[in-house]
Amino acid sequence: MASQVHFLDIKGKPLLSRDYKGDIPPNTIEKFPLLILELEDDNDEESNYKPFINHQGINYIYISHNNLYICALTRKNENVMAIIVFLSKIVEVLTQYFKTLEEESIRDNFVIIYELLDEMMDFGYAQTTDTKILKQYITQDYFKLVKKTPSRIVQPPNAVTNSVNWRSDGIMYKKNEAFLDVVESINMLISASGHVLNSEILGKIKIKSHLSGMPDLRLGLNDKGIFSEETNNRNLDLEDIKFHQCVRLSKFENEKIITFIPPDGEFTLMSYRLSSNQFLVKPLILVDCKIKVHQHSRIEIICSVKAQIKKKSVANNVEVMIPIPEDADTPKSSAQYGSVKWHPEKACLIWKLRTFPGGKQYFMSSELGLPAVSDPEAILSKRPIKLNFSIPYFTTSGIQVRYLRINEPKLQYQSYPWVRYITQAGDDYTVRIK
Amino acid sequence: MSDGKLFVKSKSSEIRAEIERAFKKSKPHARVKIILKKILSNIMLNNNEMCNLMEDVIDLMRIDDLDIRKMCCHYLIVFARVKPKEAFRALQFFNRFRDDRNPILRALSIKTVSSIGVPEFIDFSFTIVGKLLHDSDAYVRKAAVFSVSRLYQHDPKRVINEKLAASVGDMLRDSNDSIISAALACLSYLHEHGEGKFTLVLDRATAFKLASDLSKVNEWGQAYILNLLICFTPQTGEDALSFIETIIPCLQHQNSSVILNSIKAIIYFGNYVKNPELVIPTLSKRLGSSLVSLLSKPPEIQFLVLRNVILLILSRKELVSFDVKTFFCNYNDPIYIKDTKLEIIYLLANENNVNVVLRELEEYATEIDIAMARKAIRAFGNLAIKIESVSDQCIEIICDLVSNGISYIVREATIVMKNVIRKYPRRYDYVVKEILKHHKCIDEPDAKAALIWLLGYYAQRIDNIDKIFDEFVSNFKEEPLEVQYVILSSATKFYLQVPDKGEPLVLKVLKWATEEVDNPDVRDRGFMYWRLISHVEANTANGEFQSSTKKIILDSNPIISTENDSIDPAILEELDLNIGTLASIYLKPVQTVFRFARKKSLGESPALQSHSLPSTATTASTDNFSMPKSSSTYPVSDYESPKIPDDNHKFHDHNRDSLINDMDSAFEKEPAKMASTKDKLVKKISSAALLGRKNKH
Repeated sequence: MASQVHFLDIKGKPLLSRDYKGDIPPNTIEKFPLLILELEDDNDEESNYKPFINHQGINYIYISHNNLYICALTRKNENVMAIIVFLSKIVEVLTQYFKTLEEESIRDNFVIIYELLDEMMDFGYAQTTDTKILKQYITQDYFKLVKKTPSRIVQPPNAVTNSVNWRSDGIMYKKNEAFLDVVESINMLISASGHVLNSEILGKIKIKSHLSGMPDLRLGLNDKGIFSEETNNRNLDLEDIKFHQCVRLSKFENEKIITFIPPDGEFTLMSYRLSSNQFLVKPLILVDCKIKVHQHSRIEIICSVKAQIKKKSVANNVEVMIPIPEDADTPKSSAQYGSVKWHPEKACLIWKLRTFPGGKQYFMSSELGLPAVSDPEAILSKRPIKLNFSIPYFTTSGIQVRYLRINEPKLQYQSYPWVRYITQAGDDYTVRIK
Repeated sequence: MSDGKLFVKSKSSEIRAEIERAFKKSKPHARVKIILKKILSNIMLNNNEMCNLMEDVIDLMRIDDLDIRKMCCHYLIVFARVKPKEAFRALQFFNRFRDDRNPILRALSIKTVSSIGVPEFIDFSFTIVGKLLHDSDAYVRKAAVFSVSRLYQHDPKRVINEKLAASVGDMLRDSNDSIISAALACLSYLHEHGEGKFTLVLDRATAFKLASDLSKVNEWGQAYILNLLICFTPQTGEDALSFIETIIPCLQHQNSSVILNSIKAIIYFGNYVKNPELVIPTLSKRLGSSLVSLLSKPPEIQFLVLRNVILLILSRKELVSFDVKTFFCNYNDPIYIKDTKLEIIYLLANENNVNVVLRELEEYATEIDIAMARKAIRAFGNLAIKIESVSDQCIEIICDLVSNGISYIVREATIVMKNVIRKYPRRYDYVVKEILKHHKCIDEPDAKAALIWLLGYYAQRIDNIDKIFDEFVSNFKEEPLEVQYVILSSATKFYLQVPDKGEPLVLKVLKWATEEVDNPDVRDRGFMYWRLISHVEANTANGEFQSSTKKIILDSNPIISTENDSIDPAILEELDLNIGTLASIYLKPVQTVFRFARKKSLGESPALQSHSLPSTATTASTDNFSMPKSSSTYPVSDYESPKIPDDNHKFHDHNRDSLINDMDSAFEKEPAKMASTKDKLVKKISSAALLGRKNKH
């Protein structure tokens, strides 16, 4: 698939490169900085298919991460999706290896990165991209622990070629525990008048497994029509579930049972998406904001928020980010509850409410000065109001874990499953303003 | 210890001295490692002088240390080609490594040797790869399999002759599942890049076995298997259906490339099942939602998914179902995502959802982002053309927006209105008046051309037309070519419709065009119009003013429609087999982007269903369409040989990258029309009076 993989700095200068096929001249990548510049220069033409560049028969496929570009080159009509996913896996693995992936950590660890790149891909085909497995035979601690690594000590772990390729044998824990986190992120687009235009729930079940041996797990969820097809009245996108590769997909397909041998440590077992509006007819947190602009003098903001959740529930760390013009100054704010802060670098006011019980409503008002002279062409930007919050012990979709059965056929130990629920605002919980 | 400080340019002589010094100490390992790292860091700094160290580095391979050997191999791969003679000595080590007890070392040796494109190394790899393919350790077998594809790159004939491809094929029955996927990856490489020397055909038994292996291999293995399943041509509908059913669970995989590959495979097998959307009623919804759920991934992935969504909407509307709302833009989306979403919104718009769509587009049109606003306005225009019942609504919104007098909106609206008026002549005159109020802010060539066209079209109904026209014409000589063309034709139209006001103007323009412009095309065209209006027979016998000229020039325009949205079904068919690849981003015929790509087509089989054009006929009647279908598949096989250079131009008409932009090309039809008028003219004017005389009326 990919002929070469490169790490480049923000200017596009190559830091580290690995050639997998040798069918593209090694200096090709030197054109990359120029191509990036060109892209930035003429951004109005649609001939540029960002984030993919085709130049003189070579395709540059890249992602950016922390001031770095990670770029793959290919000449052929390859599967870009696989390449992009692979590049993001590289980022993921290297981040897990070195905490942060940036220019410095690449230089500091270049030898091990070469080794990893060699194991993760062969002849352009992705191989093992699981950090836990890679860590078993490629470690950075060689130099600290043993001064000498005789060839016979290091062996490829079985998991590289096993069918259970995400877990190796012989894991032992004193106390066998599994922690489940059900996290639902809510994305909502709300019109200025408070109508929900578009909403979705992005749910995840994360597991931290501290279990010995090769346990077989079985997860039971309340199938109150969420994952079974019978109940048509709650018409859900039940197909929108993505599982970790350890879940037996065909078993789920036929019997709707989630069974798996978990990898060790933390992983996301499944993610699901519900776009139906049945769950979210009204905003969880309702924002009503009136912004009045008096040109050349001041801007007035009156805002109210209401928690439309159950009386018993509490929303934590609520943040309302209200956009204001960049040249506004001297804010005077007062809030019934919580604190209002001006963040000139983000051109917004942030109203923070640490706890917010269901059913309550709070007000705030603010006034900012505007410069007397302003660009008459400038249009008030239509940035939306953004919201952050988290609601513990609550899932919007109503999903619940009924049971988590842990069975290790050989060891037969006692084990403890723990479950937590939380609903939070996603990246796009926004309210449009007029 | 941080390796960052090793990044200092060194000389080979310095490093050689360091190696010598290291061996004087009792435990040289750690020192040697650091020295090797230094060498590698110098390679990264493009210090090619390092190649002088070849012999020293090869010497280091004798040390029994995996790290040192790995680094030495890396060095060899980089420099062996520069110094083949010195590198040759390394082979003795590899000869030892290949029988080493450690599988990593065995794998390393074949990996390294086959990566070096020097004849001796290739020779050597051919001698050892056969044995390693049957190594007891799966890790080594896997490395050997990929080495075969590497060797194929160097010497394809020899790989076939030594039956290596065949033995890799045998490995499809290996007991270890991960080997199977590696073998598949290798075979698919030989298949796609073999330039026809090697063709992979899966038989039914193998294909079924592979499908059942899906759950056993790792995520990448799944992706390879799914990718290769389309090499199997099912002979019965039942077979195809059972494949679809086996693949469906993969739609729930976490790895996006597995998902796209499963969609590709399902679409492929869908060709061999009669009305798959009726047999598996949830299919279209599942395909749609598995794509939509990828939209929460990083933008690069989103973009890819969106491009493939466009492809599927164009080719297989009946197999995938989408809700237009899921494609509404988020404020933070990068512009290329918004762009693509807008295109999808346009494609998905129909009479049922159009109200929601319009409301959303209006939101974009007033957005601060200019590029987005322009695209939204363009979408309004295109929707007005696509769905007649909402055209009134669209145009009203455009009119509203124009009345604010924001320059870029007026510009875009002008371009859009030109197209709309060609579809619905004389229906939306009031918008033109509104645009003319703001004509001062029109300065781009595209918008100018559109406005001048409107002027020519509406010459009779605009009061102060001569003044406006004058403003736009005054700069004639500096205008770009396309604007000059339009000025010429519109000035003539203007004269024909309003002779008393138009005469001075048309004379002025024609004089410029024929005497002062250097471009021969403009001059020619100028002469042509001049002759037309000055010809003796311009006024008919009964004295009607310029009636013959009018007949030629004021011809009604061909009405445009959105029919040309759809790409040729044969091309779509191939693109469907390339879901998830680069071609799916460009949405162009594969061979125009990748000249040497192997042509993919649906294999012939009694179960092959013919599907109708996406824009015509409903799915129920597909069977009756077998005739047109065959005409679209058979030519495909004609193209099969990769060396027909003329092939490409057949596709040129369809080289559209963005459907929304299509409407722009309406102007290009103008020259064509001109050409035909010119033909008529040639017939009419035999020897014809030369220009120069003042025309009579």
